Order: sequence, then C-alpha cells, then structure tokens
Amino acid sequence: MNATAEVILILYTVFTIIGVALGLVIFRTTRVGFHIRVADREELEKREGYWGVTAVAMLVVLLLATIFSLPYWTANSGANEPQTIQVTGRQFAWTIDPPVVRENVTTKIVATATDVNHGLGLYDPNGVLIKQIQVVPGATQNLIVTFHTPGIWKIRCLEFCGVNHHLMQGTLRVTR
Amino acid sequence: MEAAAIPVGGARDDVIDEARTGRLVLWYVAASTAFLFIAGLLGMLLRESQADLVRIKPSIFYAIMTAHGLGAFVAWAAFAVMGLGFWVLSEVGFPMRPLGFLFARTAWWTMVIGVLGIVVTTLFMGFGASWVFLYPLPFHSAGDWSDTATGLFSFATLLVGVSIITWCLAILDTVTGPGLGAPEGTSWLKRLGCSLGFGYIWPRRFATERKLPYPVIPLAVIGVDMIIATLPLAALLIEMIIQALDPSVSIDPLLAKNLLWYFGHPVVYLLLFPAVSIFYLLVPRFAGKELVAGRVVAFAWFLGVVVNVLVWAHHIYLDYPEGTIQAALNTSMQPLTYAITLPSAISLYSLSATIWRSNYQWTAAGKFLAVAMVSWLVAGLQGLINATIVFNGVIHNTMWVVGHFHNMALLNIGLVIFAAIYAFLPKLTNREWYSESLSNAHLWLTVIGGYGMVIPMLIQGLEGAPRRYAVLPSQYDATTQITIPFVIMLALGQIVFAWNLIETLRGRVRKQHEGFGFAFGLTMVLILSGLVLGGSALALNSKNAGRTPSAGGANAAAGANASVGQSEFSQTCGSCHTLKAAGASGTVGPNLDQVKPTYAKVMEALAKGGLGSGTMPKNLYTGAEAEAVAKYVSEVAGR
Repeated sequence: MNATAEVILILYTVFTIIGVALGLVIFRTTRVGFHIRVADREELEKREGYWGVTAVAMLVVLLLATIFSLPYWTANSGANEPQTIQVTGRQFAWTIDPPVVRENVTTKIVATATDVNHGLGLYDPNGVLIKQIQVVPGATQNLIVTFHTPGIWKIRCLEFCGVNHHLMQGTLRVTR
Repeated sequence: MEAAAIPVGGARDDVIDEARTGRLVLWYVAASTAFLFIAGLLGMLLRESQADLVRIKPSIFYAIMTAHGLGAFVAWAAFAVMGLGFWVLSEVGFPMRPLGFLFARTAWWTMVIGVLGIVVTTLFMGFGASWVFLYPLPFHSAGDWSDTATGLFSFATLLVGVSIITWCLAILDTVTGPGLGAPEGTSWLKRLGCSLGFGYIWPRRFATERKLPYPVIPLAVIGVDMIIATLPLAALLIEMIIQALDPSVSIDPLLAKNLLWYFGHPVVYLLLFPAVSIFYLLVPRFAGKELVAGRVVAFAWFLGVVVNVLVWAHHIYLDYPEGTIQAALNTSMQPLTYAITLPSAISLYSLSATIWRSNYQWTAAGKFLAVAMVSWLVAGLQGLINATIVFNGVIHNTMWVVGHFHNMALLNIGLVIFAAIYAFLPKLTNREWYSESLSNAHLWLTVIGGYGMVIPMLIQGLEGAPRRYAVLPSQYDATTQITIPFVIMLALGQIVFAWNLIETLRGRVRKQHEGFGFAFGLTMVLILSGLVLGGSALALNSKNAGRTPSAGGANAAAGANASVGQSEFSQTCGSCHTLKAAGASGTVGPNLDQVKPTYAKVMEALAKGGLGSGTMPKNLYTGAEAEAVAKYVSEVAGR
C-alpha cells in the first residue's frame, strides 16, 4: 500500500471508530432508566454552536496540513527535470518514449491523449499505485515523479475509456 | 412542529388534499422501488462477474455498469426521495398547489420515460460509456455502440434532467405556498428566502406567522440548486444529441468535464438533502420531542445553498493541463468542499442531541434511521478524504470511490428511504405492515450485506484497485471474492423487503411469530444462507478455474505453462488485436489470425509501431521480449 494510503487508512479508522462509538453511546442513553434526567434543551442548542466552531477548527487544521503540498505547481512550473518521458494514451494502449528510465532521478512525465480521456496510473513493480493524473485529449499534462524501485513498472488506465479499458496498460523499465 | 396545520384552516380548493398527494407519493415509491430491484440485480451481476463467478463479456459488462449506475443512483434513490419529499412537506403542513402538483406528475412521467430510454439504449443498444458518459467517449466507442445509441441515450438522460428541473419547480411552488404563513403580499423571492430558513438568521426581514419547520429547509435548498446545476448538463446533452446527428460539431473535452461535474456534484445532494428532511421529520417523531436546533443549522444551510454549486471541480482534482486555470480552480475547491460538509456536521449534531436521553422508539423504521446516521458519518468522513487533493491523488478512480458512494447512497440514503417507506406506508395505504420481523430482517441483511460489500471495496481502493474494470488485476481477486456472500445477503434482504411489501399491499397482517426470537432466527438463517450460497458458488467455481477463461478471454493463456511471448501478448497486445490462440478479441488493430504475420513482420511492427495506420505505439517491446512475442505470434496466428 502507498504511504499516503496508509495515512488515510490510519486517520480514517481512528476517526470512524471514535464516531461510531459516540453514536452507540448516544443510542444507549435512550434505554429505559437513562432518560430520567431530561437533557436541558437550551444547553444542547448552545452546544450546537460550540460543535460548529469545533468542526470548522478541525477542517481548518486539515486544510492547513494538506493544501501546501499540491502536485499542481511543480508540475506546471515549466522547469526542466533531469529526465523526461513522453506518454501518449489512445484506446487501448500507451506509447511510452523512452520506455527505459533511471531510478532515483526526478522525472517529468509529459502526458497526452489522442482520442478520449484516459487516466495515467503509475504502478511500481510490487503492484502499488504510486501516482496518477488524468489525461485529457488535446491537452498536455505533466506529472513529476521519482522512481525509487528498479524493475518493470506498469502504467494502467485509470479513467474509463471504453470496452477494453481494463486491458489498457504499458510497461516502463526502471534501471539502476 | 408536526401538529402544524395550514394556517388558514379548513378545506381549501386552492390546495391539493392530502389523499391526492399521498397517491402521487405512492406512485413515486412504487416506480422507484421497481427500479431498485432491477438496478440491484444488475449490480449483483457486475460484482459476480468481477469475482469470476459468472463472467460477462466486457462490452456487456460496461453496458450493464452504465445502466446500474444511473438506475440505482437516479432511478431508485433520487426518484424515491423526490417523491418522499412531497410527503414530508405534506406532513409539516405544506400542501401542494395545483401548479406544483402538475409539475410533480410531469416529473414522474419524464423520469419514467427517461429511465426506460436509458435501459433500452444501454442494455439493448450497447451504450456503455459509463454513467458519467465522459465526453468524447460516447463518440469513440471502438465499434461497441453506434452514434445513434449515443444520441438516443443523451435524449433519454435529458428527459431525466427535465424531470429533475420540473421536480424542483414543484418543490419550490410548494415551499413558497400557504404552508409558510408569510404575511399577505410578501413577494415570491422573499417567501423563497423564508423557505430557505433565512427567518432564523434575519427574523424581522423574513418574518412568518409560525416557525419554519426544519424539514422544509433542505428541500428548498436542493430545489434551488438543482435548477442551477442541471441547466449546464442539459446544454452538454443537447450538444451530444446534435453531434450524434452532425459529427462535425464538437466541444472542448475539458469544458465538457466541468459541465458534467457541475451537475455531478449537486446531484449527490439531490439524494442527500431530501434524506436529511426525512431525518429532520422522523427522528424527532421517534424521539418524542422537537428537533434540537437553533440558528446555527440555518447558517449551515445558507452556506449549503451557495457553496453546493461551487464545488464541482473536486471531481477533477487530477485534471490540471498546462495553460488552463484548472489547477487554481481545483485548489479553491478544497476549502469550499470542506465548507459543504458543515450542513451534514451540524445536522448530525442536531439529530444526535434529539435522540440523546429521549424515549426513542426502536421500531424497525427507527432502527433504519439510527444505522443510517452512523453510515452518514462513516461515509461523510470518506468524503473528507476525497475532498483533500493530496489524498485524492491516491484514491481517485479506485474501488475506494465505489465503496464510498455505495456506503453513502445505499447505507445512508437507501436506509433513510426504507425508513420513510416503513414509517409512511401505513398512512399512505391505510394498511398496517404485514410483519415487523421481516422489516428487522431486511434491516440487518442490508446492513451486514452492505458493509460486507463496501469495506472490501474501500480496502481494494487503498491498494490501488482501479474502478470500472470488467476484469480486475489478479492481485485483487481474493478481496473481490470475499464480497460475494455479502452481495447475496444484500439481495436476500431486498427479497424479504419485497415479500413484506407485497403482503402488506394485499392487506395481510402477520400475527404469529412476531417475537424477538423469530426476527433474530430468520435474520440468522438468511445471513447463513448468504454465506453458504456465496461460499459454495465460489468453491465450485474455483474447481473449474483451469477451464474457464479468467480474464474475459484475453488472459486465458496466462496459466502456469504459458510462454513469455504468450503472456506478454495477452497483457499488451490483446486489447487491440484478435488472436484466437491467446483468447484475445481486440478489434482496434488488424485481426492477426487473418493477417498471419511472419516473425520478421511482427518484429518490424513492434519496432515501427505497426505497419499501417500508425495507431500502434512504437517500441512496445524490444530485445528478448520482442523476440518472444514475435516467435509466439508467428507460430500461433491463424490456428
């Protein structure tokens, strides 16, 4: 599993368990004997505002933690990277030029499509999805990536492109 | 809140009476439930095909996928909540008026005809561009369907769009009607403002005779937003109809993508917001007290009505071609998308606080709602991950997304729809439910089956499994097969629902065996049947594994004894070329069984990128791999 996917899995699992547990606690308070102490309505309505502020604060934290590492700005900076590959998608194959690259070198993938939308999904030799971008016909899109694992990498199509979409893949050899 | 009647009182001839509204709602419920059974069956086929249980040809798989997506999302869930919305309004004292009623009936007919059109063009004419029909794919079918099919599909989908807009008009007519209690002579726009809950924020400016019932707000919000969101989609569909007639017409693919998602985001809330109305109505009823809500929830909905139509680009975070403003647009959509979670966050608080220490009635409908609330949170947290650009780069277009919206649409909104049907049907039909035990069995089979299906999808997605693959890479096979018993449980749950529904409509009431023991026993028996049925089907199937093609034919040769040339051919060349020996049936390039190329010809084609149209990429294989492929092809072609 991709490192970012692991972060997602951990964060998501923790918050989900807390949320579901809270839900179960709330449902349990409806059991006979529990609702003798009637909850103070005004107090609960006031807490709605506190919860609103808490929710906004948590969202701001998540935003600040993630918004500064977007893939957009380096990809579209126009700077030349040490290694460049041209990748063209068409139903149902990828053209990869050159099909051999070196490991541990910052690489710019310049992607285009000739017919329909495709998705360029980069899988390492262990079958882990490392990065992906969409490829729109008639436009050029860049992906900056460094290949850390030598071997045969795969480019799978990750945007539905027709009847043989699931067979659309290309190979890229990463050498030491 | 529920006791509120029409302020003027008495029978009025300028409003539709409750019985007529009820009959209309029943038609919505009946048609959408029928579509649920069809769409559900198609979905089950798709997953069973991915699990190699019943292998469907890719062209048919994708046509079914298109029908299943639109069928389940629009023809079932959206259509159901559209109808139930009218009943919610009726229950909180907002009767329909003749114009709105006419719109509501028109919306029913255009939806039904549109959906039937989608069924015909996908299942019978082969249109399989998926339910997002990403332009220009509908016009590049690789011979799989015709431009006529695309034109007719676009027309049918346009009818669905017309239905949605007409429904919005019906809702807006109703929420601005006499139920509002706005002073005489209040302008229509001001009444609209009142129905959006502005009275909670600016009490003097948007004054009404009675406090606005909270269930009205989400319906008014989506009534406004879906008109704004559907018009650009309609423009795209009209373009597609014109292009089907005159191929020289076209539009920019990136613009088309933006237009599609401008509709594609709010349409999710066409399901969610009316479901929230149902929560707002039924949870306080079961808890025996008013909804715990103040002004904050009104602020959240004010934010919702504005931001809902400004977040579409979070569906295309990974589109940022050079020389376009898409990257900047996408960046701005992350905070905006976070903002759109606030109506959900505040609503979940209000509903939880309403249930807190209440005498909540744990009837079947009450349980459906409670589980739906948990799903709302669980799936909503997934939504936050999707909304975050750096996370989206990992899960975009993987099975995670499929897991996410099944979690949200089936296990939140779907359960709310069932809760509403259980709660409303006795009043709509004057009949008691046939069996509470069957309702409980329906709940647990749906929840256990549903999560048993959704959780493996989410995990597969995190492991990079692509969505919309007729045949998934073999590394995901085990997780796909795990879902099969649960998919069967889900189906059994809906059979129980159908049985309960039919017996109820026939006027039967089940008196015996209504204790906890019967309900528990029945549910356990059905869960076990799901496990046994699914498990044994998979076991029987794996015995035949050597004889059945494991990848729609193309990977048939990828067995243990396959040569390097054969497996490389299957992986790379089979998508475009037909070669019977490798089980490949691609039609993009020449049929190699007919061409029968020599070793040298194959080597030349691999190096130059084909010997004809120039469609084939150069240097697909070089060196020893090229030699292996050339040897294999020259030996087996034509045999």
